Parts: sequence; C-alpha cells; structure tokens
Amino acid sequence: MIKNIWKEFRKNRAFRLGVILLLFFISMAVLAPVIAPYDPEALLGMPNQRPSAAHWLGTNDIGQDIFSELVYGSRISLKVGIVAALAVTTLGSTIGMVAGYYKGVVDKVFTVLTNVAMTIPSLPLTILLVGFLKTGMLGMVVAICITAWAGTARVVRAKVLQIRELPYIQIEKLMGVSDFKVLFKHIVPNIADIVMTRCALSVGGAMMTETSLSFLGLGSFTQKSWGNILHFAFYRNGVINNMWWWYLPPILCISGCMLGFVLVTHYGRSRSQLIKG
Amino acid sequence: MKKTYLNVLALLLAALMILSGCSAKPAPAPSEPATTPAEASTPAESTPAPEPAESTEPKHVEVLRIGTTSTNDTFNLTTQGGSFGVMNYNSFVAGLFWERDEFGKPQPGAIKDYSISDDNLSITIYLPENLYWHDGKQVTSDDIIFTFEYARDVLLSSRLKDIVLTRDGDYQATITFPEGDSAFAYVNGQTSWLKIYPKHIWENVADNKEYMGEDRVIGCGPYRFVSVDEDAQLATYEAVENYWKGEILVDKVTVKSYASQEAQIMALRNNEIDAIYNYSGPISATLFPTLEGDPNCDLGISPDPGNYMIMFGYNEAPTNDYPFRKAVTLALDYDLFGQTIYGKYYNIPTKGVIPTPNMGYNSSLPEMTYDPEAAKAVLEEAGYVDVDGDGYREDPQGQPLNVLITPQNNKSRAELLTRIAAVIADNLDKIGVKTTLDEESLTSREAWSARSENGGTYQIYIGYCTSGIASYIGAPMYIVNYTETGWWGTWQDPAYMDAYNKVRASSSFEEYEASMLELQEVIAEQLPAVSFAFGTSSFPYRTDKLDGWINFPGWGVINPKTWYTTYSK
Repeated sequence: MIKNIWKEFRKNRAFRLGVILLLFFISMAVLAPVIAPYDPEALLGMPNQRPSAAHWLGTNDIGQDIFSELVYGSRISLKVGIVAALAVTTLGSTIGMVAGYYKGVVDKVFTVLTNVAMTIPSLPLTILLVGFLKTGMLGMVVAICITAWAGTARVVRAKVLQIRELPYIQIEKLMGVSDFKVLFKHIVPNIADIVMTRCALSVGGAMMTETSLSFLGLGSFTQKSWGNILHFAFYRNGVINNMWWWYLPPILCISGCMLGFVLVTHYGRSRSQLIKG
Repeated sequence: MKKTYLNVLALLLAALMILSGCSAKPAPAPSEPATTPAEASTPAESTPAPEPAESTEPKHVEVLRIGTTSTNDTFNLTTQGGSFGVMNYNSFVAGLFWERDEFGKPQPGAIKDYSISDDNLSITIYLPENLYWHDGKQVTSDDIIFTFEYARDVLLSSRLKDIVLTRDGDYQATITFPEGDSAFAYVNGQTSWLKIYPKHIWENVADNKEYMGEDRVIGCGPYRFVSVDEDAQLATYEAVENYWKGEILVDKVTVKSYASQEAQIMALRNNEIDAIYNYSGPISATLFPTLEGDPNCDLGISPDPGNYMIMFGYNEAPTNDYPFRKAVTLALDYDLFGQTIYGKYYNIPTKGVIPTPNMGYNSSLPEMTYDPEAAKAVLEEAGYVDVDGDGYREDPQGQPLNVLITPQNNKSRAELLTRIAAVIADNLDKIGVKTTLDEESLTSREAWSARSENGGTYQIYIGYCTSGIASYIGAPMYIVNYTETGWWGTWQDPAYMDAYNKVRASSSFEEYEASMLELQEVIAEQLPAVSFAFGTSSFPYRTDKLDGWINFPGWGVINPKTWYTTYSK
C-alpha cells in the first residue's frame, strides 16, 4: 500500500498538494510548543495589538498571542477531526459491511436506518446532541459520530454488495470458510482504499463540524481550537472592527486543512477506479 | 488540473471578499488601551440637557426611533417581558409609582406625590385628578388599592403579605407595613418597577401571564400602545394628549428589536434609529471603535453604577479563608480587567465594591492594588505552599488545591464572562494557584442554579450587578446569605448582617448613606467580594437631528425624562 501511495504521490499533483498541506498542519500540531512563541493561555498585557514583529498575528482582546493560539488550536481541531473520523469510519464501515455481506433482513434494517439517518440534517442534530451531552471534546466526538456515519455505511455497503458476488468469494463461501474470515481476509482489503478515502473526508467533515460548534459557542471554552478562536473573534467584535489578523488566519487554516483532506481523497478515487477497471 | 487550482483560488478569494464585506468600515485601529489608572479616562459626567433657546418653542420630535435587543413579543402590563416590559421602566405606557432621576433618587412617576410617615411604616400616595387610563377611564385610589392587592394575591409579592391598605379618598391611599419593615426601603426598592394596574381590566383576570385581551396594554403612562409588526419586530406608540405631567415633546415612538448589539450599532450609524436602549445591557466596549469618529453619533458614555465582581463562596474552602481571599484580591490585574470589560473608560476599584456613582459610595476606602509578590507572601504565610513541586500550591493540610471559577449563567454576557474567567485563571496561575473553569455552569442554567442559588457551593463566582439593582443596596445584596431570597450570597458575618439590616431599615437618604458607608467598610475589611473595575456604560445615540438628551448614569438617554426634554434641532 505504501508503494501505491508513493506512486500516487509522484504522479498525481492533486494528491501531492493534499499530502503537503496535511503534513504542514500535522507538523504544526505536533511541533506546537516549538513553533509557538508564547503560551497561548498567557496574558501578555497588551490587548488588541496589530500584527508586529513580537506578535506576528497581533493579540486578542485579553492580550493573548493570536499566532500561538492558532498553532496550538491546530492540535484540538485535528484531534477532534481525527478521533471523530476514526469513530465515524469504524461505525459506518461496520454497518455497511454487515448490511452488504449478509443482505436480506439485516440489510433492509440497516438500509432503513441509514436512509433515516441521511434524511436528518446533521448539523442541527449535532447541535441538539451537544446540548445534551457533557461539554468538551468527548461530547463533541460522540455527537459527530452519531450524526455522520450514514454516508460511509452506504458507500461501503454498495462496494461490499459488489465484492461479495465475485467468484472467488462465492467459492470460499461454498467451501465453508467462516464469514468472519471472508470478511476480514477478502473483503476488508478490497474496500480499504474506499474506507481510507471516506476516513480522510470524515476528518475534514468532523473538523468543519467542530469549528461550527465551537464558533456557535457549543464547544469547550477552555480548549483552544480554530473554531474557538473564531468564536471570540466574532463575539468580541474582531470582525466588525475589521481585525482581519484575528479572524482570517483560523478561516484560512480550516480551509487549507479541509482542502488537504479533499485532495488526498484523489488517491482513493483513482484506486477505486483501478479496482472498477 | 490547472483549472482546478484556479477554481480553488477563485473560491478562496470569493470567501475573502465576502468576509471583508462583513466588516463595518475600513479598519479603524482598535483603541489603544490606557496603560495606567491615571491615563484611564474618568467616567464621563452625565450630559446635561442643553436648553432650547428661550425665545423659541422646542420643536416636537415627530418620531423617536429606539433600537433595543429585547424582543417585541410580549405586550402585557403586568409582566416585565420583552421590549414592552423594559421600556416601561422609563415611565412609558405603564404609569409607575416611582421613577428614578439622573441622580439615582426616587421621584413620583405617574402619581402626583407621596409621603412616608415618621415611623417609616406607611406610604401615602396622592394621585392627580386628571390622570386617565388609555381607554379613557379615570385613575383613582381604587386602582392603587387594587394594584397592591393584585401584587400581593396574584403576583405573590412576599414583601406585601402583611400590609394594610387604606383608601383615604378618591385620589389618595395609604399602604402600611408591619412593624420592623421600612417604607423608605420599599419605595427605593420598587422605584422603576412598580406599575399602577387598572382595576377595571385586571380584577377578573386570574392568570395574568396568559391573558391575551387587547386591553392588556392599557396603562396610564405618557404613551399608548398603537401597533406591533412582529415580522419586522417594530412596535409603535403615540403620546397621550394633554398628559398631566406636562408637554410631551416626542409625539411618536417606535421600538425596533435587533438580534445583536452589532446590528443595533449598524442601525444607529445608518440612521435607522436615533438611540439605543437595553435595560442593563450597555454596548460592549469592543464596539466603541465602530462609532468613534462618527460626527453624528455619541457613544453615550456615563459612569456605571453596576459592576462585575468576584463573590467568594463561604461554604467552600479555600475561599472561606481570609488570607486566601486577600491573596486573590492582590493577584488580580485590575487594569487588564478594566480594559477587558470597559475598554478605555474605567477606574481601579476600591475595596468597598460599590462603584462611584452610587448613593453612599465610600470614597475613603483604598484602591485595590495589583501585587502578585505580596499575594504569594500572604499565601506562604497562611500555609498554602507547593508541597509536591508541581508548580501549584497545596492547601494548608497539604491537599491539592484546584479552585473552581464559576461565571454567572448569562447568554448575552457569556463571552465576556469567559474572558474575565481567563484573566482570573492567568492571574492566579502566576501566584501558583490552580483553577478550573466551571463550564457546566456557563452552559447549563440548571447546573448554574444548583451551584449558585440557595447556599451556593461555588468558590470564586463571577457576578454582575445591574445598574437597576445597583441603585438601591446593589452589590452587597448579592453577597449576603439570605437564603429565602434565592440570591447567590453565602456570607453571614454578624457585623455585615448588622450593617446590611441597617441599610434595609433606613428611613432617609442620610441614614441610608451612613449605613452604606459602614457596609463598605465591613466589606473592605473582610473581602467577601471584589470589584474588577469601576467602569462606564455606553448607550449610544445620534446627535444630528435631536437634542435635549439627558444621559442617566448606567441607564442611557432613554429614560423617564426623554419624553419631556428631547426635541428636534
């Protein structure tokens, strides 16, 4: 798989750009203590400063360094995105695999569930769930997980339905190989690219949801994420006062990160086309 | 592929352009905050009403357009809901018994006069003979008697449960309180709130809140309700002809509701409204730059009688320990609090908690000082030391210390309260005290109620005293533990209770002021609470077409006098 990824990286420019963007943001998160010039929680005594050599993106309304907030904010945003995406992908893939492989009543039940889940607008439902769940990252991840699994389940189910009819799978089943073995030995490897693609898309989606929730003030007030920075930039009137150095950087970071995840899915797309072909 | 990149680039540019369009005007530099208390502006004096030229009659204002953030959804004389409810604090549609003047003192509202008996137990109310309900019926002493009975029996005011009501004639009535109560305190406590109810409308209404009859908006104030467009969130009122208090200069008033302060400010700048009124909701200091420099608008700055403060929980350690409280008060950066809450317009608070414009303000008390080193020394001496070497102090018993910061649950102030909490956390971190933000109380009203009300279990509580409450007793009311009131106080120090009860029993302003001075001295000595800053309120208004505004401290230019003093230029 690594060989395939490397091959894709060399020949697919979109994929290459996506990987570079993601590496940039992941490095930002991992190396935050090295990159950030200040503790993002520290009050430096100079509120509402414009960008300067000392504060590249100025300071916010209570004198915290915005660049340091932004760097550390990548940690929470990516963490929520990745954890939620893993949960969403695991749940959606399991449901899709079970429904596609067993067909019949099981498939009908899961398909109805999936269709119902897909008809409910996810952001309002997530907002509702976050309102009921405990404030913090866990509540947000659970809410995202409950509302975002359906797309993955549907795609995986369709692919599994296709793969399970392939002759070698039918032969394995006739030979009495256990369902578990068939699923994990033959089906999972064949849907891995799709699952990875969905997972990459889910990270972007979950990050966007986290940002939306934090912007609306439904996230944690104590954890600095890009959405949280935007929330205070908006509600403490950085936007109306045209303090672009406060509200623009988190928007660009979210957009760049989302773009990275979307471009990376080019890899999955071309792989699935290869499988189809 | 090149096309894809270009598309992405175009989309990003479009997003940037949309975002730039959201901002108010080409980047005015945010105000440079004052760096020292001396540089911080002294709260502005309330603007005296410029007198119109003697030779000319003041020109009537055809329509006064008021913007508010309260919604135009509740129109009921007996409730305080919506913009209708809060506009009535200004002697508007409702006839108030007492309204507050610009000096904070109660004056007769719709009534002609009142007197308090020498024993401070009775209030006699005198009605003008030419006061009418908006449906044309005369207001008589029967309405006065009915109002108190209704407040007692239907609105269930516990304060009135033992009163005796006497009808002294068609236009005079007396309310007598039981022994131990104070008529003076009642008048002060009810000023701006207590309305006269029309007996002929409400005597047969059992559930006042659900009553939807058209006559539910009938009052005896200077304005009558005309209409409301709920979709446009615009309510219209017109002046009552020949109102007994004198010539009304504002013929018509519209009250437009806005979703946010930002929208209000933009509406003011765009000349869609003439003035902003939010009960106890001054414009955020972070919005000042959008109006500064506009020659047609005035920020409407006035000294704020209300304030943000820390209340220490006496039911929990370590905040029930005086040295710990003292250390916290020494660790707070009052300048930064002033800038965060009030922008440029604030002063360092004194130890008495009660802000400067209030009656009985104790100017002899020292200012709070920011001295983290002294705070550390106080903690060391009291046994709060870092035993395990993790950089945070343990309590005197050696147990880990993690102080909870509980902000008041208030949606419209959530961001500011969170910022205040962040400053407290940073300040205490610098003296080695670990803190945690009580996020549950911030986001859930139930969790907040459980934490703060009826003998609260908070440690550091961030509260706000409104300018309305500040006008009588104010901040000290929130500190005291009167569990029957359901407020948040946890302190029952005998000296404080004694001083507090003296304020409540005072029978004149002289007594009131003397008791308030004493009360602040006890606060300064024991530090049950600390004010973050003595600041200002801003209720902006336009100056290009109208004049004669009187800016009430902490209240703004929309007040009971507006209707009689504002005129067209």
